[in-house]
Amino acid sequence: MHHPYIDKYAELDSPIHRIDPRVKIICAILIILGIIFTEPTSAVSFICYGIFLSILVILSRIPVSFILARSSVVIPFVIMIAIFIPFVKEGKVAGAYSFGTLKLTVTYNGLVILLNVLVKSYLSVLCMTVFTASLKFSVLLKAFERLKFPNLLIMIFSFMYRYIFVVIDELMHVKQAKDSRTVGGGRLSHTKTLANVLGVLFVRSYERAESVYIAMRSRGFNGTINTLYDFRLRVADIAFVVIVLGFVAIARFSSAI
Amino acid sequence: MIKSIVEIENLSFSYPDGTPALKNISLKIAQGEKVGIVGPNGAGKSTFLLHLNGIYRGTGFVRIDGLDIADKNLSVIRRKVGIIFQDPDNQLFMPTVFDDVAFGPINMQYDRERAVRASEEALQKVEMGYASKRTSHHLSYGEKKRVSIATVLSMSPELIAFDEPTSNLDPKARNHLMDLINKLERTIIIASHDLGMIYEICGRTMVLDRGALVADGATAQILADKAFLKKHNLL
Repeated sequence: MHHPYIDKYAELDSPIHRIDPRVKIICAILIILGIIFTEPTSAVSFICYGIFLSILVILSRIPVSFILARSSVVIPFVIMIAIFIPFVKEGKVAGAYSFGTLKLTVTYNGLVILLNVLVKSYLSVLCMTVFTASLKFSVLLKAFERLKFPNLLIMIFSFMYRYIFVVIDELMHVKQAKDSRTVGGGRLSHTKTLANVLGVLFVRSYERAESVYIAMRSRGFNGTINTLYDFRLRVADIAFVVIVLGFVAIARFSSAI
Repeated sequence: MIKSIVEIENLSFSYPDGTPALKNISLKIAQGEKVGIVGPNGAGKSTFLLHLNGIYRGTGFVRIDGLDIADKNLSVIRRKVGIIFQDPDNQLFMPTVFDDVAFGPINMQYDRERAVRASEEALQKVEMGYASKRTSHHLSYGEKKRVSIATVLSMSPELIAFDEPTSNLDPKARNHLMDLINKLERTIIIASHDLGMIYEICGRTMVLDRGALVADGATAQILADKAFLKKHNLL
């Protein structure tokens, strides 16, 4: 069955693709920290970050549509959380509305923060998207492992990535079997079968976990997963870190103008 | 005299819920032998295989290459006995094919160079060298089966046990896999109800039914006895 892979464009060759994976992670964190600590009102800095990230996207040769689609996934979640800020933040009132007994006021302060949250989260996700889309997921995990991230966390991600497609395939099969035998019936009865489908999936995943564990023990697994690395730091990688650091400093400085 | 690599005496096993799975099994398998274990679904074939490397422990004696199945011997025994499971999605759990093949050697504390060499050789043997950097969910079913064999070959086991190696394979992939198994110069145990494959690969066959060993002898002789096979739901 066909799945959309997040590392679909990891095999391309570009200056961005060639950067050491560990350097990519560190640079992504640096840029994100830079974005987070930018003053909410310094639009110039945000524009700087936008331009810089756009340059990275162009350099990476990954289709812009792919990057936009991937990075905009986060927006609905941010809106869901941040939408209440303008209503609860105190300050100069921009507008007041009343619905019967319910009175709502929107403040300028709150609006600025809402915009700030949206811009910052989008830029951060855009930054992560550029770097992760140019990496194979397995390499990304190895880079995290090399950077001494907790092994347990990496194992969880590794298994999740390995088995999510297997579980999705199982879901599709169960769904096809269900649809083949479903004739008519209201929405409610369909929802009830969905609950059963989820139950079946849970049991299957649980049993698979058991089988995988047996397969792991059979090959000498004793609690820690080790893999072999093949990373080498080049001059270009160091240069990239310097460029990123320099850029973050410029973006910071530009807000002072 | 050829030494026995597997010695089992009076092995019985029940699942935690009390269902008996293996009943009083005794057998010996000599080094280099190719043995087929046939039996209907639920006969206990897979359960039997998991006793060979101490994942399950029943009552009675199981000895691998002279070593009792006991905690202190487990790491050595798991190096000697490679099990290839029926579902390759369970056998291949690492992010890339190479990591999967190197999983065993690394756990066996091979140094880096040796682990890489063992893994590359194993992939070559199953003709999957080209896929070493791929993720296993991108492979075809036949390719996954072959990589599964490599994950065990890389540990250079003395005994390889297969659980239904030809299930779900199309005829071409099945033939390819059978060729591969035939070329392995090791002791081989195949649990299956693909009688055609057993006939071609294994000189000796054991029949398991409802957890009991009901026949043990030359493959040609056992497979020729149609009445016997029918009686045990194999025909």
